[in-house]
Order: sequence, then structure tokens, then C-alpha cells
Amino acid sequence: MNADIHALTGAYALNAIPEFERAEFERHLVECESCAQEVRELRATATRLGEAASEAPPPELKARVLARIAEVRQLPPVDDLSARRERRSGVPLATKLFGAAAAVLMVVSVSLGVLLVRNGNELDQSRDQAAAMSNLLSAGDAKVVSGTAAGGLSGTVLLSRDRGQVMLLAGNVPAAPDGKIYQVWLMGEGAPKSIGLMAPNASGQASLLNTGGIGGAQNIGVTVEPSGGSATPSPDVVMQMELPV
Amino acid sequence: MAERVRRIAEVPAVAPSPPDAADLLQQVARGDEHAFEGLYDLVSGPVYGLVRRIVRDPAQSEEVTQEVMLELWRTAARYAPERGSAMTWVMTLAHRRAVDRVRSAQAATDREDRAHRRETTREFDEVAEVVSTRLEHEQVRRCLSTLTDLQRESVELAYYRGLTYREVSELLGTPLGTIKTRLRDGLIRMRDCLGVAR
Repeated sequence: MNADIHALTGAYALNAIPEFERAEFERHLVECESCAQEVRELRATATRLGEAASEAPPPELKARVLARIAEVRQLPPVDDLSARRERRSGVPLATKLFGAAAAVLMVVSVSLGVLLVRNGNELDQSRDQAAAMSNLLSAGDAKVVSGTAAGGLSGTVLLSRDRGQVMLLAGNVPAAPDGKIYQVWLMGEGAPKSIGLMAPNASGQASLLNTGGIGGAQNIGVTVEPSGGSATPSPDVVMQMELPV
Repeated sequence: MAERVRRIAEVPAVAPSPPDAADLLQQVARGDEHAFEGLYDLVSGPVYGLVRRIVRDPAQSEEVTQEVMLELWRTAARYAPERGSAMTWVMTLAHRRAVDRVRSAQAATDREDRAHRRETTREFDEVAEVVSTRLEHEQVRRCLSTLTDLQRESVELAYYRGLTYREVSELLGTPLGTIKTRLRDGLIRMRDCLGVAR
């Protein structure tokens, strides 16, 4: 187990982990039962902090909430069996997405062999991811570009400069060497800017979403870095793509 | 005689055990609106209090609280007891929604005035202080006081202000790795002090 990533249990339990690191940590949780157990305990601890802040809401809120439930459909329980089957095959449920975004996503996924990660604890995460993706694709200026690097590594980038959001989906990503991790950079305007770390799942798929602004970046690149990530990119570039204007 | 009557009247009837969030959720999952009302009474205080602490604006806090309550109604059937207590499930959702609200508001503000971005060196001492002194639960306050200053500040800034550990690191001028570790060991110390079940 990687000691550095394990230290994130506290930040994760406090929901103090940026979006781009959450996905990676949740993948780690699936494989690390002791980490998952620690997260459960630390979440229960955080709950006590939350309860200590208890404050009665304005009384009129209750009637409003009770009136609203008449309009909200309840979800059925998760079907364990189908969830498990789905986990094994690794096929995403496109039905979780809606409308045009789902159609675009299907095309992107199928044509590039890029699949959303979905297993066990990652259900929430991939739902978030799917939501983030449909949200991004709904931007008026949304663009999709894709390409293949040497070694068969494929990448698709969704971006909206207006919204300052970029999502990278990569396939055929080999596991990073021991003690190393992939780091993603935006380049073009001044120094390269890190937008996060990513690790491929067992099927060699990796993804990353960053909502911190794109600025005038012209390229997106992926490098291999020491496991905690680096402040500046190493020369070990595994993929680089030009971003549409 | 009057005295005796009063004494007898004061003897509580066999107290029905207070409703438990997990039981209520189970009933809510079956569409029981009355159970939902019970759940509201049980969790709306903790939910609103936590949301209010993070979001601060009362009107927005109400909105987020309403969102959380409706989400509980909608997803009650998805609650899995083996993954944690019902209260933890509720409060994790509430925290997440509150944080989503402040982070998306913050992203909008950041875009608007990126120039003024570096004004984050705020009065965290004051915030931490207010948080600590207002805590209703004596035990939590006592346990927080057993943390080192850096552990406590980090935990409070992350949890009650909804900051990411990276933001906490920047605000406190402390390396990322240190903050990560302080959040973890601070919470572990809280866990042990509060006797949270392993």
C-alpha cells in the first residue's frame, strides 16, 4: 500500500479532497480494505463534529419540505446482483446518462474503447463523472478531440473554455512504474499547469476532470512523475495533444 | 396528597425508545411519509447546523437543507447499513451538498475576479475560535481541545469551512503533506477520544 495515498483517508473523510484526486483515491479504496475501514471510522468521527454544530432550522422549512416530497419519485434499491455483474464486465450503464449527452458519450466510449470506471464504491464517483461529462458537453463551446499516442495509448479530451472545464479520458494506459504516477498538465501560457494526477484501472482506463480554468492553454500533456506528483513536468511525456481553440 | 399525585404524574411512562435514523430510513424507503416526518425531526437540526456553518448565508443554507432532505427521501432505499450508520450517511450527504454549494459559488467568484485571488489569508484564528466555542456538544469540544493547534485548525477549516486540504495548506502556509497527515492523525485522535466504534 502506498503510504502517501493512505494519508488521504482523513482529507477524504472530511470531504476535503479536490475532485481530480477523489477519483484516484476512490479507486484505491476499492483495493484497500484497511483504508476503506479507516474511512468509515473517520467519517463516523466527522459526523460527530457535524452533530455538534446542530441548529434548529426555521420552522417553516418543515412544511415546505414535506409538501415537496409529493413531487419527488423515490429510487428503487440497488439490485445487488446486476451491480455485481456490471462490476465484473466493466461495462458502464449508459442508461444512467440522459439524452444527447449519453449518445455522444456512447460514441466516444465505443470508438475509443474508453469506458467509465464503475465498480463497487465507485458507483457514486462514476455517476458524478457521467454528470460532469454531460454537463461539460452541454456547454455551448464544448469541443471533443481525440488521438492515439505511440504504444497504443488513446486519449479523448472534452473541453469548454467558457466554463473552464477539461476532461481527459484515456485508454490502453499501462500501470505507472512502482512509486510513479501519471500527471496531467495544461501548457501554452507561461509555466505548465498541473491539473491533476491519474492512475489507470485494471482495464487500463484513466480519466480526469478539472474545473479550474483553461486560460490560454494550447496543449494537454501527460507525464510520469513520482507518486505525489511534481511541481513541474518531467521529460517523461507519454502523451501530448493540441487543444482546440 | 396533591404532592403525591404530582410525583406520580411525573413518573415517566415506559419511554418508547426514540426513533432511530436507520429504522426511519427503512420505512421512508417504502414511501412512508409519516416516517419521513420523523426523520426530518431527527436530522434537520444537525443537517441545517452543519450546512449553515459551511454556507453561512441563511437563505442558501435553507435551500441546501431542503435539497438534502429531498435527496434522503429520494435515495432512502440506497442506504447500506454495512457501510456506516444512518446518521453518518445523512451527515456525509449534507456536508457534500454544502461544500458543493460553496465550491461552485467560489469557482464563479474566482472567475469574476481572478485578480483579487490572493486575499485568502483570512482570519482563520477567529473562525476557528467561534467554531470551537459554539459547539454544543461538550464532548466534541473537549476532544477537539486534545488536538494540537495545527491538527485542530486543519480539521476545522476543512470540515466547518468546506476547504480542500490544498486550500488549508495554502491558508496556513504549511506544506501539503503535513496538512494531509494532520487531518488524518487529528481525526484519528478525535475518533479515539470520542470512542467512535471501530
